[in-house]
Amino acid sequence: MANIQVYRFKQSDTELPLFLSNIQAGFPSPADDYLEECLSLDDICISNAASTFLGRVTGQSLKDVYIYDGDIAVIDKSEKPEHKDLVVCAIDGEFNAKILHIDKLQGIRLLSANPDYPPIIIQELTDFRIWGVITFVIQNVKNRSNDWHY
Amino acid sequence: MIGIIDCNNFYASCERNFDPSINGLPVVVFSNNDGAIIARSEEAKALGITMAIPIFEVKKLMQKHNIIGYSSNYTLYGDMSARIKSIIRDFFHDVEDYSIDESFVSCKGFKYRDLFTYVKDARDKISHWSGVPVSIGIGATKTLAKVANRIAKKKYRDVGVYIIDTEEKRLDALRNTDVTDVWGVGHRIGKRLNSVGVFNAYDLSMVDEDWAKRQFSVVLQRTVYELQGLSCIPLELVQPAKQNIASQKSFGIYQTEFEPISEALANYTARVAEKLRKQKFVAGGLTVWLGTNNFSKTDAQYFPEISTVCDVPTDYTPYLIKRAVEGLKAIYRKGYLYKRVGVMLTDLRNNTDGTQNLFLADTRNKEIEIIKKVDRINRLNGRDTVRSAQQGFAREWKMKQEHLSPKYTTRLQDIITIK
Repeated sequence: MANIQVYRFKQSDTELPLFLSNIQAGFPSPADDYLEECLSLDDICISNAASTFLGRVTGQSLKDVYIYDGDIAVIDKSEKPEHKDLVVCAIDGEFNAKILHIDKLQGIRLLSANPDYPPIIIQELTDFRIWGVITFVIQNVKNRSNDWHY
Repeated sequence: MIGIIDCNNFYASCERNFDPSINGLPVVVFSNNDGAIIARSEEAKALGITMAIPIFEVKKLMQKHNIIGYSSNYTLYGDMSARIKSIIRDFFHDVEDYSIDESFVSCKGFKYRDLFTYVKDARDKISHWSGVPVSIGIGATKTLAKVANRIAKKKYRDVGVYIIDTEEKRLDALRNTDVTDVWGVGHRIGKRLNSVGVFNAYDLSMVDEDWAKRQFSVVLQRTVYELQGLSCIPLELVQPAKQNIASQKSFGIYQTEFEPISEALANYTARVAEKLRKQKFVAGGLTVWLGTNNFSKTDAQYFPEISTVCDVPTDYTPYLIKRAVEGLKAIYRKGYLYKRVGVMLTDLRNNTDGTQNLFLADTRNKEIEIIKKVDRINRLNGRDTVRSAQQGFAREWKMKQEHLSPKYTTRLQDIITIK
């Protein structure tokens, strides 16, 4: 049973001014002393804003890890790529999302999460760069529920 | 010790960061109106594309070598610049932002650290995290840091760091730097220096300082001291408070009629008003100017300017546009070939400064509400989704930007696609 707690959510307008005019009159609200910071998606998904970029996933190469066409990937270029990270690589002039697989026997390979896409051995690539690490994926679940087997 | 951090081929590197298909290919970026070349990748430099060359002169060369050209995408470059400057502050405490792609940093207090190791690590991280490669030069003065930066770029490109930390290195660096390449000298003064036998930075460091001041300027005297290792140009850590915000652009084609010019002006005013609100300022006044093409030897020339005061300091776009267009009406004359129009908001104050006209407080509150909503809609749906009617839709004055890349970092529909 998943437990979900509900919090008040911040409007994306960065702040709510308490006074909309420069003429400040009236009594302060008794709730002022109890105001807490609002929640923001940025706080959850972005740890290093300056090095974080967004990208749109196209195609079905990640479907086995439940990432689909149209999802938005949060990419942090300051994250050090590690074994089993989902990375954005530049391969032969395109951005690809792959699972980085580092293994003593098999070397470094780039895996897709879809049996139709074979693993890539990076020694065999001429033009390859890891561009960044995917840290979060934003998915429109409401539009997605038709794909589920329920 | 002072360092300068400088992005390699900044605009071209920004384009390349978001488009892996142009990796290793020659890339150039065009100036406003796609007129001249203002940035070149290393490959384009090697093919003989020179800085600031008009595009029609290199069209053939570009076709022959498949050189890829982009219109300048200042939205992208500005955002990338802000990111890089923010990352720099992760590694250096005292930073002076010198230009869109250069920052001076203080290396004070690094005495007990291995300076090179620290700076090299910072350089690698700034480059990787942003995706734009940077070079760092370090010396006892800003001018020496600039000299070191040039050496880092030219000789140690892969390392990306060069430090002038011994007398031997200083002399060697100066002897290998042409006097015209010294920060603040330039070609005109360089030529004059050449005529009196000063050819490289070492020669310049050896001239009599008073002679430099008498014959040239106090600026050159400072340069001489700085090359010797005496710092006279300190780091400016405090950005002076903004006195005004301006926007001026050239038209893609000459404009003669009032309507399109006022439409362009309304758009520039909308832009500066957005900036004003972002910085939480209100403007007490504004200045509008018009201009013909001052490079033309045959056109009649006319450069009028007019200033006005706002009833109440404001950040409300419709009001500012109204006043700007009133100003334009007063200075516009028929019969000229206009090349540019500009607007500047003046007398800026914080939007909490209470120079409020008590009787206008009600309107002001409504305006704040309206413009907040407009900003929000435009932020979510793209610039000018909601606009003042005076901004129009014809845009015949618009800059030529035929090769504009996507706004990868600021527009949701423009983000990179990942297969």
